[in-house]
Order: sequence, then C-alpha cells, then structure tokens
Amino acid sequence: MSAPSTSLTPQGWAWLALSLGIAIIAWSTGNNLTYLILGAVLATWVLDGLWGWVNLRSLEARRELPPELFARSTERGAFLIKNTRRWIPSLGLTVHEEAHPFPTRAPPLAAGVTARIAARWRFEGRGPVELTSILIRTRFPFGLWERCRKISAPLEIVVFPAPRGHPSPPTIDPEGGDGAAVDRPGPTGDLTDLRNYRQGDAPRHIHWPTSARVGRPIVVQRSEPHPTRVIVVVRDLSGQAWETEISRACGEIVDAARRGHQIGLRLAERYFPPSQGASYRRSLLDHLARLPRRAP
Amino acid sequence: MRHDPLVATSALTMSLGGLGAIATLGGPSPWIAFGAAIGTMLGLYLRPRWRHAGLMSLAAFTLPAALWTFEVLPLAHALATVLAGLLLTTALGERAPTTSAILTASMIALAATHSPTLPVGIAAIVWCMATPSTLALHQLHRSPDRSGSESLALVVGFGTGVLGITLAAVLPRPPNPSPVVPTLQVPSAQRTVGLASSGDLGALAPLLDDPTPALRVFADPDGVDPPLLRGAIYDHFDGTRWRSTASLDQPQTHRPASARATRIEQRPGAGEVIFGPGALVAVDGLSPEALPDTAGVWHAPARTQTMSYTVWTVPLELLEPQSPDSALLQLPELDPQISELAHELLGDLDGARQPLVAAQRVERWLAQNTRHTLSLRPSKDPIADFLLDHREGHCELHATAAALLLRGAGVPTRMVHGYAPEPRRQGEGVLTVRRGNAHAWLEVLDATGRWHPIDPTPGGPLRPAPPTRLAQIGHEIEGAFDRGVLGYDHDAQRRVADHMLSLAGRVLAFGSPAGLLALGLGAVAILLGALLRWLSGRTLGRQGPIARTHTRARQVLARAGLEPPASLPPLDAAGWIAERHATAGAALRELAWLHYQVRYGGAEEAPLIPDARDLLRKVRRAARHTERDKARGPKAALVG
Repeated sequence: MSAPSTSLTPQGWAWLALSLGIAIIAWSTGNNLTYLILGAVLATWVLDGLWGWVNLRSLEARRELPPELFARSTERGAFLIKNTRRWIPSLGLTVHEEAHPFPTRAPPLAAGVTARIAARWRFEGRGPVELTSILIRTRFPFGLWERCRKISAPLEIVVFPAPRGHPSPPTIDPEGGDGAAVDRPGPTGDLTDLRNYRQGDAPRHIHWPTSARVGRPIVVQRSEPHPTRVIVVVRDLSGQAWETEISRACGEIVDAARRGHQIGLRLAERYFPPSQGASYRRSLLDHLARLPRRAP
Repeated sequence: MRHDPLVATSALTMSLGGLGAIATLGGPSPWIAFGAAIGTMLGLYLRPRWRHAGLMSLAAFTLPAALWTFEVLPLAHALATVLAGLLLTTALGERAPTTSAILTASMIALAATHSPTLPVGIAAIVWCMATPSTLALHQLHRSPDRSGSESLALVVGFGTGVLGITLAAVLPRPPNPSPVVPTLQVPSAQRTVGLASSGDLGALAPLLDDPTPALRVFADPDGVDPPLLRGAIYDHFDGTRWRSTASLDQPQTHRPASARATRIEQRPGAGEVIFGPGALVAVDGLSPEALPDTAGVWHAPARTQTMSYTVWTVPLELLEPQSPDSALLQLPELDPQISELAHELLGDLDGARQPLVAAQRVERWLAQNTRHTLSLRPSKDPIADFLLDHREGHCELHATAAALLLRGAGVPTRMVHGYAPEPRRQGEGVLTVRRGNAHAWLEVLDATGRWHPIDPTPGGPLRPAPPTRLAQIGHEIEGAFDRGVLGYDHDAQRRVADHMLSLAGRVLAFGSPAGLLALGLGAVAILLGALLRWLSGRTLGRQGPIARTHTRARQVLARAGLEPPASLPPLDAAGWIAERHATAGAALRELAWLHYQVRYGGAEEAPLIPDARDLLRKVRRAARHTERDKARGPKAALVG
C-alpha cells in the first residue's frame, strides 16, 4: 500500500479563497464574529485533513472478478474492502481499478468489517491484460480534499474476444454423431428424477408443488439432449478482418456451448478436437484471445 | 421534502434566528423577510430536488442583499432571510452546498464588519454549527447506505463547530486593528450627521434602530453611570437644521479641580465630535490634538479606526454662570398656531425668571399629548407637522419642539446631540454605548446662569420607563454578547492566557506534574475512545440487538482467522465456518437463525436476546481456543 496522494477539489479551492478572504477581514478588523467564522473554516480544514488521512489507513482491498471477461462488454464483479482497524470506521469511500475507472461508492465500513462492493469492468480489446492496483478515494468529511490510496494488487487476466453474432450458421462437423450421446443432467432435457435441494442448485430448478407437499425443497433433474459436434473454423485473414473473424469464432463457441454442443476449433496452425465442459470452452476462448494481431 | 433531522434542525434554527431578528429590531419589514423565507420553503417543498438549486441559492443571497442595500430590509432581517434561504436550499437537496456556505459566510462576514450585533452574532454561530453538518451530510448521502448519516453529520458538525469556536478563541488578535476592508456604503447607517457640527432635523432617525457599538466608556466601576454623553451643541435653528453660531460653553483657560477624567473608546462612525459626560474642558491622548471650534464643540480628528482618548469634563452645575445670549432665544419663522400654542401653555409665566417651571410645563404637555416613535414622516415643516397634526416622532422632534416653545416664552435653551446609554449591568466595568443610543435633548439656562439638562422625550433616559422582564432578559443577553464576544480583543485574549497560565501553575503546584499529565491524557483518551466507540456503533446502521450480536460474532471469528467469503449469506457463512470449526459454526448458525427469525419471521426480539448473548459467548470461547491452538501449531488449529 503506497502513501495516499492528496489534491484539492474545486470546492476546496473555493473554500481556500473563502478562508483567505475571511482571514484578511478578521485580521484587519479584529472583529470577533469574523474570527468565529474563520475558526470554523480552519476547523473544517483541520478535520478534513485528519479524518481523510485516517479514513484511508488500514484498508485491504481485493477483487472478485467475474469468471469470464469479454472485450467491449461490461462485466460485473466486486471489490472486497476490509477495514482492519479495531475502532475507527471508514466512510465515504470510492473504489475503482487503476487503469479501468468505473468508480463505485462503498457503504460505511465499520471497524473490522469486510464489505463486498459491486463493481464493473470493461475492456476494449482482447488478450492478456495486467491489472496493477486498486484505488480507494475519499472526500469525507467535507469534500475539500480528495485523497487517493493505491493498493497494489497485480493480476494478469485474459480478456476473451468480443463475441459477435454469426452471419453464417456454425460449421457442423460432417463426421458428427458418432456415439457421443451420453445422458447428462441439464436444465433443458427430459425430466429424469426429483432429488433434495443441494447447496448451489439454482432456485429456478426447484419444483415448488412437490416442495410444498413434502415440506422441503425438491429439485428437478433433467437429462441433457444428445450433444452435437460443432467445429468452429477460423479463416486465415489479416488486419481488421482477422479480428472480426476471431470475434465471430468466439461468438460461435459461446453460442454452441450454451446449446450444449461439443465444440472443436480449427485454425490454420492448430486443431482442437470437439469436446465439452466449461474448462475446455474457456481454453478455446483463451487460445482465441491470445492469438497475435495481424497487420493488414 | 425529506424529513430528516438535519432539515428539521436547520428549519428550527432559522425560524428562531428570524424570530430573534424580528424581536430585536421590530418594525414591519421583518414580515418581508419572514415571507421570503416561507416562500423559499414552499418552493423547495414543491421542487425538493430542483436541478438549479445553486441558482436558487444565488437568488436567495442576492435578493435580500439588494433589499438591504436599497434600505428596504434592515441588515439583520436581510441576513436572517439569506440564512433561511441558503441553509434550507442546501439541506433540502442542493447538489453543491459549498456554494451556499461560501455565499452565506461572505454575507455574515460583511455584515459583522459593518454591524457586529447580536443577530449577526447568532447568524455567525449558526453558520459555524450548521455548515460542517451540511457539507458532511452531502458526502454521506453519496454512499449507497445512508442509514445513520444524519446523526453522524450532526455529530461531525457539532464537533467541528466546537473546534472552530475554540480556534477562534486562540487565534491571535491584531493589537491595533485597522480596517483594510472598506466599510460598506450604506447611506443611512454610515451618515453621522446629527452627531456633527450641524444636524438636519431627522438625521438621528436612521441611527436609532442600529445596535452597533459606538463608544466604550471606562467609567468608575462602582460609580453611577453618566445618563448622557454630550457631543454636539447647537443654538441656531432654521426650521429644518440646527447649527452652532456662538461659543456655547464658557471656554476654560485651565483644567479646574472639579474636572473628572473619563476614558472613552470611540469607534468609526460614532460621530465627528468628542463625547463626554459633562462640559468638556480638555481631551488627552489624541494625535493630532482635539481642539474646540469657535462654537465650543470639540471635533474628533478624522479616523478610520477606533480611537481612544481621555476627556476631562466638569458637571454643568459647576460651570461658571453664563449670562443669557440673544442667540439662545433665536426662533425661525414659525406657524402662527405654534406661537398660539406657546402662548397658551406658557403665557402666564416669565420665561427668564421661571425657566425650569416653564420647562416642566412643556415636558408635561408633550408627555400628555405626543407619542414617541422611531418612524420618520417626510414633511416640509416637520415641527408644525409634529406639534399640530400627527403629534408623534422621535427625540429630535420632541427636543426641538420643546426648545421652540420655551424660546417663544423667553427661556434661553440650546439643543444637545449625544448619546443616552443604557445603564451597565452589575459587575460590568465598561459601559457600551450603541448607535441606537443616539439622543437629542435640551439644556435650559436658569435665572442664575447655570445650565440644566431637560429631556422632553417620553421614556427618555432622564425619565425612563421601567423595563419589562423581557427587555431585561434581552439586555442581559446583549451584555453577555458584548462582554464575551465583541469585547474579546487582543487585551482580553492576553488576560485570558495569563489567567490560564496562572491557573495551570496553581494546579501544578499542588500535584505532581507527571500525575496531572497522566490524568489529562487519560481524560482525553476516554473522551476520544467514547467518541470512536460511538462512531463505530453508528456505522453498523440501525441494527437490532440480535443483528448486532451476529455481526459481532462474525467479527470475533474473523479476528481468529475464520472469515468466510463476504459474498456468502449468513447461513452459508455459518456452514463455511462449521467446516473449519464445528462448535463455532454451530453457534453461528443458531445466531443466524435467530437473526432470520427476527428480521423475516416477525419474531419478537427481546426474548431472544439472552440466547443470542449465550451464543456469542460460545463463539468467543471457540475463537479463543482457535487462537490458542494456532499459537501451539498449525495442526491443532485445524482440529477445531
């Protein structure tokens, strides 16, 4: 955690002008009422300085990023901010990523409490991105100073290409349908069973009439329809057309995965055989994201 | 309209401030101020989140300021209106309260330099206490969780206000303040005619409702206050203006033994002449030296700052006898009905031989037939208008009318302009004389050649009406304000500092310094701890006891290293902990269930509190064991 940087806000500059004006009037006239105002103005400076300094001390921050980040898409995640002090709360905090500022206001943080603050990330281009620091700002209590503390939280993430709608239907492997039909539980197939609710089950899978009858939550279990094999082919292009091709391929992979298909990927230099599963899908997207850019 | 405590406090304070201003100064114009404030409130009620609230603040500042400049509103009422408008605008939803705060502070500062009165003092104190709250509330309202922000803002504002007043007390005062800032050009209050070498009839009127301190008289603390401070003395009246044409006090070639010294501080705007509680014979302490003119009036050297001087005065009754001068019987061209009235009143008296009897008769007639008022009625012949038509006016009209009636009967008289201060409260060493104490009265020459002051104004200082209980309270407050706020200058600051040092010395002499230091530090630590504890509690929001107990349990476990991900709801968090520490997890699960029962199940909270406390104790015990195990080794810590 680095030392906080401090800058005067526009309101602070106006307040400074007021302070100087009142100080001149007070000193030149010796009028006690203007001294009263001067005292209050100075008190705001003192408290704003002290409180703002204390406000940013002993804070810990980390990210809760969404599992997948796509380019040109705003993804939701969270910052976890912990106030490690025993007594003093932190108030009026604003949190954002250093390089990608989507400032988010934090609720009051009592001493020893961790708050989860919903945040958003958006990246314009695909590929690996290095996140360096989380910035925590505060203008509390009077908004005269803005203090900013940089908490180092280096992390490399991979931003997947922006998924584009597919102008042509996804390429279907002509050799598909060779016995990959395995019944898998899923949300859209035929009803196969009813079972007790387990932690992590989506509430929309609860069968409410049965749950009401037996007095505990019961979840519907369905079979997945036989998966189809899909091979996404990436044509060998260059320049902007290459980027568009990658985005199209990404869109097809996302769409096919959503439909429960087995997905393969064919590039000029490499072939990924069709398979299923979230991690396999992510590895395909990761490969697409890391493909080098090509000059026109 | 948001019904939060700050709005209510601001509205209440402003209403009290406005009422205070109305009660202090009276007159019809306060209702304009009150109406403007009500109008602002209604406007904000209809549009509490108006986007152009900043513009409205500017209007709320400019309009009363303009009304004050054009003398439609008195200063205090303009200020009350500005405060009401700006603070309510701010509290009710303006986006940038700093603008309002700066405008208000500027207005109060200018008003304070112009007229440091009690209403302006109240306005300054209100600003000091309310502005930090407003600024802090603005910041707190940006947070997604606003619970408790109003109370916190009030605490922050109060703390800042107290610190501000403390700072104001210790900030060094200039030893010799000289106004660099030009005094405001307000025609009515700035003019000092009437307290100069000539005075238009009615010139005192604008001063009569101005409570700005003009003089400080360092009189004998145990002595009797001088009822009148003489300044300008006139003998010639031309129908609308008094002026001096002859030497009115016998010039003194030496300082007589009967002369008494009185130290006076005279502020700018108090007048162009020197004031004293009798006939002036000498003035010390002024450079260039003050000298009397040919008419015997002592003129003050032109100053833009407070001047301090010592006057040597002789009581009128101890002056050398003076022979009647024809100038003291001069009369302008009068309405014949006034001459008839004078004849009717005093026709049976010989004015030269019975001047005091004639004066008493005129006083009685004026008391029975005229009324005292501060309002001024424009007229080409003000005396005829006063005596024959309306029969109401202020001290100048009463004194002038009496002078003309007496002169008509052959009684030598002269007009005196000065101050008639209100008597000091018990224990006050300094007599504060305000502009509003400006007064006009007569001096009548008796048959032996001695002057006698006569005040024909009903309720004047020589014949005061008994003050009401409310007026006494008002005087007490004003006295405290004068002593505690306005009188706290460079010398007072030094006196307080010396007193504090000597007090500290005495205390240190009785106890050991180390013990006293520890005592002081302990007291500060207790206060600070209580404040932080309270603040910590406030930021937990308005949780009930069960929810607070649950939060405490989570905090205790987090300190022991059992901190589930913040995204987990309470029951899942308890499950997460149970996987690592069965006892603590079970207790926390029970606590979470209690919390759910209260929050969602509508269960009554009070009967569940003992159970919740038991569970918190269990959690604490488990956390202590975990910490102990952790200290023994990593394996033991995982056993739970």
